[in-house]
Amino acid sequence: MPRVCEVYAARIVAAVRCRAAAHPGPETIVVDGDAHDRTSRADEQGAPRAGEPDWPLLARWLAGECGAAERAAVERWAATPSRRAELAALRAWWEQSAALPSAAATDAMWLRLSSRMHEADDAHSAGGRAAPQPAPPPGVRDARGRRPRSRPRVLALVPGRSARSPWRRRATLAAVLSVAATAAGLAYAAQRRPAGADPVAPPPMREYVTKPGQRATIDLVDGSRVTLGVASTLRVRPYGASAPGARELFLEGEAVFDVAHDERRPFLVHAGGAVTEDLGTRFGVRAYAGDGVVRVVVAEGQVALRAAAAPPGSGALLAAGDVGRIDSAGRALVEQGADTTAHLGWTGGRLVFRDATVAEVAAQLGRWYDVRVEVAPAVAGRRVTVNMPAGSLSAVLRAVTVPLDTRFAYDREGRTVHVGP
Amino acid sequence: MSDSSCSLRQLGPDSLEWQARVRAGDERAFEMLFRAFAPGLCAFVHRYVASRAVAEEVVQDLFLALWRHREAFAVHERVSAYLYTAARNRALNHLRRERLADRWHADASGAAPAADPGAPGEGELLGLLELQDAIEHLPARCRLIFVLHRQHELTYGEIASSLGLSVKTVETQMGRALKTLRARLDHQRP
Repeated sequence: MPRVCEVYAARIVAAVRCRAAAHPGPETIVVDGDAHDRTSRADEQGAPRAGEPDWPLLARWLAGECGAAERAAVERWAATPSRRAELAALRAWWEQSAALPSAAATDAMWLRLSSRMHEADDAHSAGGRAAPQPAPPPGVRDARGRRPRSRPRVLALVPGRSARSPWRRRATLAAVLSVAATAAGLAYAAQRRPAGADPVAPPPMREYVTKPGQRATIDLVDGSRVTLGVASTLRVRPYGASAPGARELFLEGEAVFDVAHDERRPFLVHAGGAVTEDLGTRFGVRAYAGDGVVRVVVAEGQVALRAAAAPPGSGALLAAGDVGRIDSAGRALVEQGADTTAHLGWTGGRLVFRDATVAEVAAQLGRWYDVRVEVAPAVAGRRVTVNMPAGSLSAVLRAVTVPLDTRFAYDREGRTVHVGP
Repeated sequence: MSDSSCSLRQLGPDSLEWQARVRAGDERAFEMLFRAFAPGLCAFVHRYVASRAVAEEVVQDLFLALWRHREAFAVHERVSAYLYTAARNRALNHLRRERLADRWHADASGAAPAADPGAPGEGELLGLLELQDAIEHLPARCRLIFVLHRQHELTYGEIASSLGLSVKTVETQMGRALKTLRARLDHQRP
């Protein structure tokens, strides 16, 4: 770090001298041309823009990672009242940015809160069947150290402010780059070779697994974000932030991808015999083993969807609002103008079924709540449409069974629910 | 979730219709209320309690209590003012309990309590929402680095080695974040 500071200081001094020679007057810090930052490349060519601060330097100054020479340089820059005001504003934003929870943290907070809300409501509502809650996943404790009732949980990667020990920092880092809950041992990152891999094949993939009733948010090294659904597995071939070649992920189950687009490095999701390629997007992929069809929903941007066997560049182009389906035979079907929020509602804790059979609903509920849901043949084929927040399992079952004029009952241990007359 | 804060601005967080929906138990409306205010409230409570985990707990407790008593949720001229006053009270209670606990410890220092920053003004609340919005709209990698540094307290070196980048790149991205935030938020300055 000292070496970098020296280099910086030397450049600033040289730039200041150059500027002073040309225009005697208050010294300014000139734009430091930076090869990585495309936006400032234009400034590198001609004369530096007068008065424009050296942003990386200011960032380090705010972070307190500056040497004395650089601090002096910043103080010289902030000579005028308007610049001092600007610096004060920057400092205010800087301070506040530490305490503001990120979107992922807010999501996690909402999910914890909404399950506590439902608990409170369930406890409050008198009478009715005291349906046993599905057993909580082992090892989960909320911020108070209590075992929460089991609701689908999103495990966000925002540990609280940790103590400044190096061990804690490494743990924090691991938590951000892999999947870790506030308690340990739920979704885990493991290095495993995919089954049947060649022993001298490329490096093993990193694997993220959620169990029924769990979800997770994974921030990838390139800045992309994956929200992994319940009972799903995501395998990622490790790639460095600047390594060449495609970024490849393998999904079994359901996930939503927020991709940091990179033209030089295609982002490919392999799932259920189909390949979805990001073209600058936010999209969801659903490919559970029992589904029989891979479904891709695009919220923003575009993706290219094709069967795995088809050549790259073929297949369907999906844009925002499109739902693409590929069946096991490789036939693709595109539905346009769909309500993507309905399909992706689960990331916000909503259960959405559109004209689905009771059997399909039962399968999904089984994954969400970690119970077995058995459906009598008489009702299995009937269709329902549901759009509701994922509250207690009983509430959802009521919403499904009452319109169908049928019933549900738990067995003695509370691990299985029977739906039917 | 910036889309919820955008629709909030359209609807008006203080609209009576919105409060009525919460009273009626509309969970969606309540969720929007939460997503709109919780981040700013966390940042605000953090000034009192100096711990993000505790701040989040305080804010959740506040909203849980609100939900539990939603039928009695009185009509407020400014929901934001109500929420921030309630949050401040809870934060002060928390501090009071902590100090009481401290008194039983041998090393209770008897230092003066931290200065009470006081409830924020309307402009400041909107400013916090806009800051959160601005951070969420940073380019993906830039945002990741910025969040790692600001919220997870990793040093540039640690960020660089974990993401496989040079320290110079991290510095550049931090500078870019600052520049982008300034461009987006400059209108806030008097």
